[in-house]
Amino acid sequence: MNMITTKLLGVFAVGAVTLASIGSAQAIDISGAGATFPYPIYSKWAETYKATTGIGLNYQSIGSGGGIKQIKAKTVDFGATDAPMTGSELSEAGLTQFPMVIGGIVPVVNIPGIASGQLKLTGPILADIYLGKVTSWKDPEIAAVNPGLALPDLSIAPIYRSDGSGTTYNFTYYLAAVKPEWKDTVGVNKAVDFPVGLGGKGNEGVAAFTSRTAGSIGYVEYAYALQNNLPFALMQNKDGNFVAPNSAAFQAAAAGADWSSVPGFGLILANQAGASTWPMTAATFILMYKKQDKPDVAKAALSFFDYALTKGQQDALKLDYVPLPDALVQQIEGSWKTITAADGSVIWK
Amino acid sequence: MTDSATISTAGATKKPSLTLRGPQKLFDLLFGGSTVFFAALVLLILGGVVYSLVSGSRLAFATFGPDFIVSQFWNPVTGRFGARAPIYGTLITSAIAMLFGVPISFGIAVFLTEVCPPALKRPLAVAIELLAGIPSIIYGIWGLFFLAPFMQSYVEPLLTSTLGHIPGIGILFSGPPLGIGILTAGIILAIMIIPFISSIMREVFETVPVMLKESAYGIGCTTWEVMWNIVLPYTRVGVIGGIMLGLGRAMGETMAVTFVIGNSHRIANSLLAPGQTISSTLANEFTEATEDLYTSSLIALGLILFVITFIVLSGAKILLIRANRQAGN
Amino acid sequence: MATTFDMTRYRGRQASSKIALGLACAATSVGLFFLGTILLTLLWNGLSALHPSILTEMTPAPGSKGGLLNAIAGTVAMTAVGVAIGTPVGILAGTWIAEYSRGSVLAQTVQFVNDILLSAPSIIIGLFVYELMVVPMGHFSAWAGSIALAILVIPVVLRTTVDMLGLVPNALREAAAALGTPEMADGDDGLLSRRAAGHAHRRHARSRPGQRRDGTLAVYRAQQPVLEHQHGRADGEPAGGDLPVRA
Repeated sequence: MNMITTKLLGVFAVGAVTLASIGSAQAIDISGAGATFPYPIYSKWAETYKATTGIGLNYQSIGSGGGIKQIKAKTVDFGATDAPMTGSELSEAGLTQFPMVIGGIVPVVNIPGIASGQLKLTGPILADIYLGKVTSWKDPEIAAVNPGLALPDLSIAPIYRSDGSGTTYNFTYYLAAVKPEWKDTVGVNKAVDFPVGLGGKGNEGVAAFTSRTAGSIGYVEYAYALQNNLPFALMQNKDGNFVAPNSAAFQAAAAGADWSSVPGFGLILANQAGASTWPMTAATFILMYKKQDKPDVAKAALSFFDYALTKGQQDALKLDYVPLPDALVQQIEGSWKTITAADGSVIWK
Repeated sequence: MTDSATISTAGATKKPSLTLRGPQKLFDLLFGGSTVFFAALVLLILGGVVYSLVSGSRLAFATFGPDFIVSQFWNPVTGRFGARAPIYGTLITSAIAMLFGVPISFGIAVFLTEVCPPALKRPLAVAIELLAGIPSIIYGIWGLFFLAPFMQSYVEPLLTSTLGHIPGIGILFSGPPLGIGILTAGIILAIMIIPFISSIMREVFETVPVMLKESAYGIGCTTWEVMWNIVLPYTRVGVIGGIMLGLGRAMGETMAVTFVIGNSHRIANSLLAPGQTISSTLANEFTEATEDLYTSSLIALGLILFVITFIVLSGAKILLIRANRQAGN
Repeated sequence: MATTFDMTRYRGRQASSKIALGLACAATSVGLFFLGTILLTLLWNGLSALHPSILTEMTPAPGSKGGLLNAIAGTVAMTAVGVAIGTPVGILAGTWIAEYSRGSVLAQTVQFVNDILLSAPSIIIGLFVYELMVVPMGHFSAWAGSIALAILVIPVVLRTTVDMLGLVPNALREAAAALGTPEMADGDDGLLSRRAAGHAHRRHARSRPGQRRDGTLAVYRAQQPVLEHQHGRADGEPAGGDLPVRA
């Protein structure tokens, strides 16, 4: 009898965790799934939108790859991904894609005696650290860009995301862009075979390892670094300036970009030109079918996105995300004209 | 007096038992029929699970062949996958978990059945069973914020400075103390299976007839001798069953391990180095795997875990049959 | 001389028993230390967050206040459905194995398969239910979650049922032992004939004198030679099988 109780308790507990993510699926009008990075802002928008319109949103933050899988399996009304799909992938699947919000990826460090913002890094140095070629903080490569900074003779412990994530995708994309060797040996993906270091699960895993291991370096979402007061490093951008991660630097990267150059606005904002741009800026994207079986739901979803892109901007700033430039919002809403019902009628306006 | 009463009772029960047997048999047949259906359902469920695993992993095995099992590559970018590191991690962490978990569980069960003051017995047993109900993610968070720093600052430096100097096994305790790695994962698994194994052991220990134990005490056995020579052999099937349950849980445990194992796809010599288990790989990468081959390789890992479980359980069954045969002689 | 030798030996045995029990206490304290820290961590961090609003408000968006109402309601509802489906299946299947299966190959297979299911990572069960329900239905649902939970519940219940029913003969035997001879008298002709039939057979009869009481167990009796292998496990070798007979 006791064992039944015990084991059922165990099963209940498993269920509780499962349900925490799935259980909110009741009586909700729009459903979406995907990237974890924008989850805080999506749920904030959902809350305020429901308060004004009564239409709810159920967003499951299961990861970018999951978002792509679920929209392809048509189990959700929209998918969300940090790693944009290419033009050919989109047309093959019959999907349309547009960005929602912008954030940044920040290198966080744990070096005794070094405060937040004191250490300067360049893209190639970061790549060498994660390639296992720069193994000590006293390495001349690091000292060269940090004149006057007393760095300890401490070995570097690189921390990466063990779970597949859009953050890793954008991080490796940047490293590949600045270091050909990275592109050739490791490559770009949501999960890669890191030659050195250890993996933490999620932003919190990376943060926990970094904050506990002296000499470690990790990469996390900007909002996460800010809210948890993790010491960050300055990065050298394409123009050669060392910049601190902040909303202005992300916005600068987004403003300089030519969004219409890529189908589905699938632009990766890594290593953008500009005096004050943050080199590891990233957008997060929404995926929807061009042909909609449920036009009313699609219309509700688009209304929600319209709200998010216009009235929801203040909420985004409050949660340390960067809203999209106005011109881009115009372009995005223009692209919604390609979303049609089964009879070919345009759903949005 | 007693004798006559006995006989009359016996006589009374004998007759109706003949007449009752008919309807009871019918009921048995109906009831038995429905139970066999549900037993078959269990087979069907596993059949379904295995089918979805086999069909899902077909692509991976077709692409890599048997090489998949021995290859150490795990590179989603180039699309080369091999299961050696996760298999190694699964086996090693489970072995560590058993090494620590089983003796401690046995100790707890002995303590609760033989040593513990009766007033404490119930609360302690309930507390331990309660712990079996804590979600594994809580163990993971606890491992990350409590156990890992503890291992890093105290246990691992101690191991490196002592056992690390022994030739041969020293290499197992080499490397920087990260607090994250195979050893920490094994220990957290041990902690997680203790409630399971010790509860089962305690329960089966309590099924031992008091008469049997009293007889043993009567001929002058010490408490320990009663436990080791009477209780343990008497309950061996239940005990081994409990251990197997714990082992199964250790091999399949996902979230807690994922938090503390370090998730590296490389096989390191040191137990202090980060590693990977099959379950942690699945938990980490399944949701983000979009390419078919990637997904298929992950499902293939799941299939391998099933096969490992199968082998381990078969081994346990054979062991039991042998033990039974020996006891029978 | 002999006495002193015996005393020394006895003291030695007593000492080793004390050491072993001391180790058991040590194991308990080590185990309880870790388990206690986890429980304390959980209570310490959990209690501070506990608030009446947990039960009355929905999960909040970041930056707003709220509770866990939807998560709690979802947990309760889905667990209830999962258990409602899983428990009867597990109990009935377990009953079949323990009482009806006659130790057949099918029963052994089911039990074996069940042990495998028991240790399957929940993510694999999730994958199965995803393909079974979510994809065909076109959306995630609490039903799919409940079914997944039911599949997780079944092996646990089944195993526990088999284990518990396996213990029944033991308890009944004890009851019979306590009652004394009536059952023996009931089976006196059988017992005598079995004594003649041989030692092994006799052991079967004696180890389970109480089973003749009801219909279910009557079926049992007919299968004793087969079941001995399966259920004999709980009885073990030195079982008090002979005790009631001699009493």
